[in-house]
Amino acid sequence: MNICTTFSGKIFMGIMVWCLPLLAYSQAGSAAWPVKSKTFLQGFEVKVSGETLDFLPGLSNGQVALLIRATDGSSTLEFQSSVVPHDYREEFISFVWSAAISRRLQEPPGSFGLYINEEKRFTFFSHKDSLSANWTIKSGNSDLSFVSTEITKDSQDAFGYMFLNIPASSVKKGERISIKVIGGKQNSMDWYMPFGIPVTNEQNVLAEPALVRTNAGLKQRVRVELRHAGSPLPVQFILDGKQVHSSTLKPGKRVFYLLHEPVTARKNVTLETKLGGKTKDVRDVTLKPVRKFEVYFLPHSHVDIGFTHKQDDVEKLQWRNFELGIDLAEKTQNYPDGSRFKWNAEITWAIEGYLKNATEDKKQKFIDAVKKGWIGLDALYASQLTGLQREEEMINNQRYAGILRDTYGFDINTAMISDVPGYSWGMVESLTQSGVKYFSSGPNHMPHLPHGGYQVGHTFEAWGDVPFYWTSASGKQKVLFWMTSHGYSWFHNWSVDVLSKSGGDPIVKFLDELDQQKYPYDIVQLRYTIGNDNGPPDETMPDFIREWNETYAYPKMRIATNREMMEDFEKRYGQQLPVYSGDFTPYWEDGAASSALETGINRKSADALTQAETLTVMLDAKENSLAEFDDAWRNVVLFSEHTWGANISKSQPDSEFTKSLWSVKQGFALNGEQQSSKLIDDAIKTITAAENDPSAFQVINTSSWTRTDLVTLPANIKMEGKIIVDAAGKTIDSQRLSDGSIVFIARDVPAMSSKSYFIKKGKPKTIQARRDNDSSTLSNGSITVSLNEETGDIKSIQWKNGTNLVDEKDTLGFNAYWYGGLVKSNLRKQTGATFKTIEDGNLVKRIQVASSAPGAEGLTREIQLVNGLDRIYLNNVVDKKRVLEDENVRFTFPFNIAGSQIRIDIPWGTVRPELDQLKGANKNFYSVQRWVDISNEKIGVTLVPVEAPLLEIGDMNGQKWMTDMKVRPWIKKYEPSNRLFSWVMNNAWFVNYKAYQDGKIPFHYVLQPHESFDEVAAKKFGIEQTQPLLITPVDKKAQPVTPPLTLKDDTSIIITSIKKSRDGKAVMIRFFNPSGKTAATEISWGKIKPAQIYISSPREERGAAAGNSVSLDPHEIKTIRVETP
Amino acid sequence: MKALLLCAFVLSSAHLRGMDVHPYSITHVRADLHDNRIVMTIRTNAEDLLYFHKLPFDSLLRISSQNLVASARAHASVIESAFFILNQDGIRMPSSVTSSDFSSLEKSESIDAMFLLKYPLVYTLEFVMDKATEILNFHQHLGTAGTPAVSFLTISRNANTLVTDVELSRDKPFTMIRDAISINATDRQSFMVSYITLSDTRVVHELTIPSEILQSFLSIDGASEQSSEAIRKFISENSTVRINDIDLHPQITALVLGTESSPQRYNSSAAHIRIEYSLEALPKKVAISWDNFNWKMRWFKSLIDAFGQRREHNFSRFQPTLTIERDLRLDKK
Repeated sequence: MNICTTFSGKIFMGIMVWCLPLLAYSQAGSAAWPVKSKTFLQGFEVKVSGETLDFLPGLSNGQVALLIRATDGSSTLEFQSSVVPHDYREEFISFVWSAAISRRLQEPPGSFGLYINEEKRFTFFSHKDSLSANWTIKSGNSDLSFVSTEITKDSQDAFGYMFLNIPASSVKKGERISIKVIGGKQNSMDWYMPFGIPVTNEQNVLAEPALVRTNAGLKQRVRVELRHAGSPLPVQFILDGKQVHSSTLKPGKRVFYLLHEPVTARKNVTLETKLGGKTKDVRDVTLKPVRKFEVYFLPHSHVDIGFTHKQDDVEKLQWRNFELGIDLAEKTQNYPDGSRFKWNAEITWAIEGYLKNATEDKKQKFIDAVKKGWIGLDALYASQLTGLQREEEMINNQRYAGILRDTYGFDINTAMISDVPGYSWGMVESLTQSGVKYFSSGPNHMPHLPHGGYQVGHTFEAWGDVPFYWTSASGKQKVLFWMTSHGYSWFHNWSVDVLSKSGGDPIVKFLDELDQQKYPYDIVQLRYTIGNDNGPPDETMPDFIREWNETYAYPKMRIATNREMMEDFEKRYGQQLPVYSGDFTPYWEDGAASSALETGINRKSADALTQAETLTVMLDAKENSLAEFDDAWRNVVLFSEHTWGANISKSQPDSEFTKSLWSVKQGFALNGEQQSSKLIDDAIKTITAAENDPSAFQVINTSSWTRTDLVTLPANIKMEGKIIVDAAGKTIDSQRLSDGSIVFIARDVPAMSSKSYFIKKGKPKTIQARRDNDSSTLSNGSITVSLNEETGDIKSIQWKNGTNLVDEKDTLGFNAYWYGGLVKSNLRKQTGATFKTIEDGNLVKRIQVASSAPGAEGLTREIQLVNGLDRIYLNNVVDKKRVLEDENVRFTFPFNIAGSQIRIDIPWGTVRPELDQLKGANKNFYSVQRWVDISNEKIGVTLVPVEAPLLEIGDMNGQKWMTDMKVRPWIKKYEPSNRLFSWVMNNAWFVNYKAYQDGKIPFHYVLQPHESFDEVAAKKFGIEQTQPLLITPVDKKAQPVTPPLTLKDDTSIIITSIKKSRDGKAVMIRFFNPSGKTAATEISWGKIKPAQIYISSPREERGAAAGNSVSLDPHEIKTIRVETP
Repeated sequence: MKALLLCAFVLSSAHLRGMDVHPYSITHVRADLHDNRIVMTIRTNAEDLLYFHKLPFDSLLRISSQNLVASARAHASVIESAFFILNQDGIRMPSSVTSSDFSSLEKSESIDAMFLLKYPLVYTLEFVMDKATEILNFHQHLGTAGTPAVSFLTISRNANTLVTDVELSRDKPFTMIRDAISINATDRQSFMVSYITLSDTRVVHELTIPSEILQSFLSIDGASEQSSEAIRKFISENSTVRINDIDLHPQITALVLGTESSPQRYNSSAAHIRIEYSLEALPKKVAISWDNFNWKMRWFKSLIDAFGQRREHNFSRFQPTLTIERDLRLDKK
């Protein structure tokens, strides 16, 4: 997302050029430097009011530009001059400031009224063309002039100086004058923009790390930037005693390059500058030996699937980019090495559509381009919010890369991610398992912000230009991770702009900075995207780089694919790279809480798909096609892609553009849900008996361990005078719930198998009794939960008669609803509590508390216990009102567990805040995969926030960085706490994410008290909450499902995925050891009759032969390919 | 106008033991340009007198005000010789000290040597500028006493400030055209000045951090006790020193926080901080670290006096630690 371009109208700055004054619309031509006094005063020294821009090129820290348009006559800006001296004696006083005026976009021209100390004095207009961009207008004894020093190439906007000459008698000495400009009522986008940049004579010198090729051999370059505020003058430079350059200096900025013999050691030389034949500056310049930098530019588009355009249009734009890139590569194929064009596809999403839709010719051209190295392929399907993803969803980020490999033989070993700052630690395992060795990161980059980007936290500070090997939680895998400190968007037109406009200066300055910082490598990564997000290839780039390399021996510039750069870099520096391990806790996942309902749906769909894949193997469900799975995974992965909606989603939430983008985005979640449900249903159908009044059921366990849980039969099952029995005839307690459904506990359902239950005549043990005398306490004999009768918050949880696990002293309340504005402003919680006992049977006890809730039509919280299960089920439903003002919703969980350690579940690992986080990781909020655990050595609780991924610890810290927008104080050091916050909703992002959400949105939490922490138990518990036991009616004679395989009961190894191979010839099984100890197990084959077993990976290759045992180190994963006859 | 807030000092006895260690002198210089003269106001503090004039102090580390005033007067010649302006031909413009203000020293009989930084000394120098002068080349050579010195130069013409707080040091003179109407020194306050002094008894790290940079790290609101405390915490968390592989705890022995009150384009104030680390053993291996950078300050240069040897180090993410090892041997002769 390119946040800087969300104001419409392109504003460019570039190399200043002088334009001759000519006639303009009602504005007479001016002289070159039209000041009437001997000296002039700064026209814009203090900003007063107006739309402020602080990110434009040319603005230093603290400097701003103001912007108005000629729309409805209300667009106003105001600034003040410097102080008029007390002893000012001249007749006229001249004020000068930098300004820009747009070219006329329509007729009549945009008009701008200029007021001095509230008195209207002038009206000026946007210019028709470059010939009318210099003018003077008079008003009595005063005049106003504009002298253009640059006309932008494409838009013809004029940049230059504004001059105001007024009689000195008309201003008060010792005071500033106020200059106000009001845009006219032309309903036009024509604009005027004054800059709070001093109008100065200034000279900046940089001894560049550059060696120039000349006829006299290599020379070292000194860059001199002169700002000249005055009439044209001859300029001469004397470097080290020799005159090296002379020309004419015109008003504005001008850059000169002076040459010196290369030095082999530091050397101080003198630079003398003469203006008009007189010495104006003498200074020492230190020349250093030039480092042999090689800058690898990675051209790509930055694919936002939405944001700038509708998703379908983005896809077509990207297809066009492929074709433009190929054409450019073809055109430049005979250029010198380094300047031949290459295009990085960045992600595979658009490729999938292209290869499906392109003509055969184009398709072949694309394939050939990849083979020739013109198009670089990277493995991720999109730039993901990885903190939202489940393990197998993450693996599916590389799904289409695998298809490209299998179909075309493209072996993709790189990944690129753009815009998004911070990535789940699980990405290391996910990428490396899929054959990716190199991971390039280009986060959002806004150089005017204190951390160098929007909501990037400490990412750039920690890892910008600090390549390292990032090892997985198992320590078995590593990926070369390299984040460029200029992100992906440095060459956008609001920043330094394309190389052919900005020249090499920004690059050389950057290299000088790297040198100053003692950057230890000579290879430098720069992402190269132009224009805006979803931008095209730059057709001027190859020529620029060819000419650069012809001119300069160093730094060398090279157009490259990600793969070329990474392989070159590793070859040269791999041995000396540092190695780090930990979670790079991401920063943008908070936006997913702007659509809490769909986020919850998608998280469940990811687990449902994993379950569907297992079922498909368990039940040999041939109807479930690979294409269906691919499409479902595609939808799930696309919902986790970082582009949520429009660049105007917050400012114009009801615009057609915003609604259209959200409709497609929401569709990814809803379609994924529908498809995953269908795949499960279709698999189960293979054993389902279609009877009206079924009397036999199978409870199916898709996990690799034996499970016990509550299962639910639909309401249409007739149970009057009947009981449920197991296969041994043992009566099973059941209960009909208030909605008519029937529940019972299925105990010890075997791994990846099923257990039979029957309905037969008999006297039910207990009839569900629904009570109206509502209680505020419920117990299942093991756990007792008491509620505060006034608030409905949980005031105590006692497990096995132990101490209260709730911190009663914490005034937040446990399972309390908190609503507030930005950061923690105007915090309010729910009010009132009406209790109702919903279930009070022999199995299930459930109390519902209804409350009023700010920001919502209402809030219901249901607290449920099940006899025989040591769990507390919470179901909080927020009936959300549409609110456009900034808002946040949280549920609070203050625990009473002394000396606790918090652990957070992530894909393929567990994160202890601070201890398992990389430097620069997010500590304001965390992304939870399935559970968070808080425990000490004796007791703890595992909390599963089923739908809501965002967790804050200690306080509502998620937006704490907004408390000081100068500093943006992202938390650096984690402070241990027993307070957990489930941050379920927000809408604070000013672009991209949703501006509001409404309707009933459920948030389920499951809490399991336990003794000391057991990582394996926690992992299993988390999976059980989103991959439930399934139940289906079957024929009375149906036997339990034969498991495809079983593991030893006592092993800590679990299976996280079992699915059919893409070629249909094998079953792919992924094992994971969640424990901190090495574990081993024997495999007992069931339904699967292996012919061959291979060590494999998500790539499904035939690796080394494997046997019937698995041994895994802590947190290691291993995939085997089991081929059947 | 700058309002200077002198914040509380915490000086340890180690500081007293280490009086021999030179800190660095910070001076604020304001040059007002007139038609035929330049009036330069130089504001330094009484601590300079200690180092430039080797003032004696009593057993309670107090110095008599009389001695201080006398040496402040004598210091006028140091100021006069150390601050000068050359013209385009390299000729020194005639100058003289026209006034001085030592009133801060006259309120008590003696002053604790530890608190000399709180006592400002103000000197006014006038330079005669003839009509032929075209270039003004400002110099500061205060380092002659062996004390690293930096001045912050502000130049104004009438009520308008031309340049604010540019670094002026022996190595860094400042040049401008005499009739310049405006100068935009891009180095303005965008640098962090860092001097590190290593001796056998202590490590001193002196920093001048522009508010603009400081405020990109810290939420501070002008000169207040809260700001001071935030700065103390910031420094103690980020300026770490290990001697012979043992971590030392920093003590902030001086904190001067300036604020800018006029509505200029920039906040040009700066914080001056002195951090001391007391040693309990002869330093053989010294490791000084700073590893807190952001986009506004991606690195900074430190000038180091390491046991009498001058060196430089750029602290950055790539080299957050400077390690100096000494081979301490008895001279067998």
